[in-house]
Amino acid sequence: MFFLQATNNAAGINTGLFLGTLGMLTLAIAIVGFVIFHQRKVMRYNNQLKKLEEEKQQILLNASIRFQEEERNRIAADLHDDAGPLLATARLYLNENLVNQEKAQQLQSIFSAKQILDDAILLIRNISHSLMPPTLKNFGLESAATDLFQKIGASGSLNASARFHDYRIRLKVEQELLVFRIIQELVNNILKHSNPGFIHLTQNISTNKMYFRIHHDGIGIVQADFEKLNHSTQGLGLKNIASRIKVLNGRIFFEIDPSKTYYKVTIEIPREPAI
Amino acid sequence: MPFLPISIEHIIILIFTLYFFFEVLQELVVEPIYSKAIFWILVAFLINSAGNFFLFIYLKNSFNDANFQKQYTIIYTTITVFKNLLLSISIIIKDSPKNESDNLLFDVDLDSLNPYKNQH
Repeated sequence: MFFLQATNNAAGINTGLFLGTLGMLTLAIAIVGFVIFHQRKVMRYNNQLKKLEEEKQQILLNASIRFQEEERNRIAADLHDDAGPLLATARLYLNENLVNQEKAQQLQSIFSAKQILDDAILLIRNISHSLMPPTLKNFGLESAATDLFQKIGASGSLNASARFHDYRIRLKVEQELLVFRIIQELVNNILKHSNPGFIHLTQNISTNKMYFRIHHDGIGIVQADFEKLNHSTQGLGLKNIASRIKVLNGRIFFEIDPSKTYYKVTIEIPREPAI
Repeated sequence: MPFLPISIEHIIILIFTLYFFFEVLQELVVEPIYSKAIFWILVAFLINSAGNFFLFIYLKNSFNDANFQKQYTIIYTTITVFKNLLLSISIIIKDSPKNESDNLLFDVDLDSLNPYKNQH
């Protein structure tokens, strides 16, 4: 009560009232100031986050465009350098039939043209298979991956094998294609940069997730390297992997085994079985 | 003079204003809070309630004191002027402009580039 009655009678000023009002006003202004500054801080942070996200998206987009262009160039080069000369030669042989009227020579050139056309058909089939493996389309991921690893193993330079532990329920066709492309890209990278003695693919499931793991004993990368390459302008293939993983709503981990003898790449994707 | 209801009223206004600020801090921010009229209205009420809070508490004991009445007039008037200024800001302040991408302005007259425009 003393505080409420504290009055400076000489000056006629109620000190308690004066200090109380001043205190309350200061508090109110401090609260408003805090709200404004805190909000500005949050806004700045959000903007930075947004900018980083946009930059990342831009890098991924550029990578995917560059990858598409590279793929187109490769197909164009295959068609131009291999299929083009074959078809031109076949045309030459057939043209000779018009000039040369001797039956035996005509038969010979038709036979040669047929052989060249067969080669051209085989070449175009190979190009088409490399674009979209028929095994994947017709028999699913398990067959396609096993086929891929068998082909690599057949070269004899390294051991390659694939084992699917539980793939009774297939993924959706689009998911299978994305997973296959990721596996293909990883295997390509390993073959190109790692110089491995073996590559092994395993698949397994949990209640709502599916896991694919590639083991290899070459020179590998760990998660930190992956993140670093993913945010730099290098590592086009890794960016493609990252964007495909994002589409799948999955995750990817690059690790080295505790024994330091081999590397592991694990892909985790949510299970959405094909209907 | 109903001192108690007035004090409770001020406390309620203070609590609600603080609650509003708390909510503002929680949500995702896209534009500064001071660009909204509601912010200035609430600041006006906050200043008014905080500034007059002690005045109404003292009013109960010193209602007939001539010195107190003088101080009351000074404090109450100052805070009311301040409150009205803040309310004026809330009236003056305009809503933030719409996103520019909503109404794009082209520098080029695109119709003039249409090669078929004279055929119609």
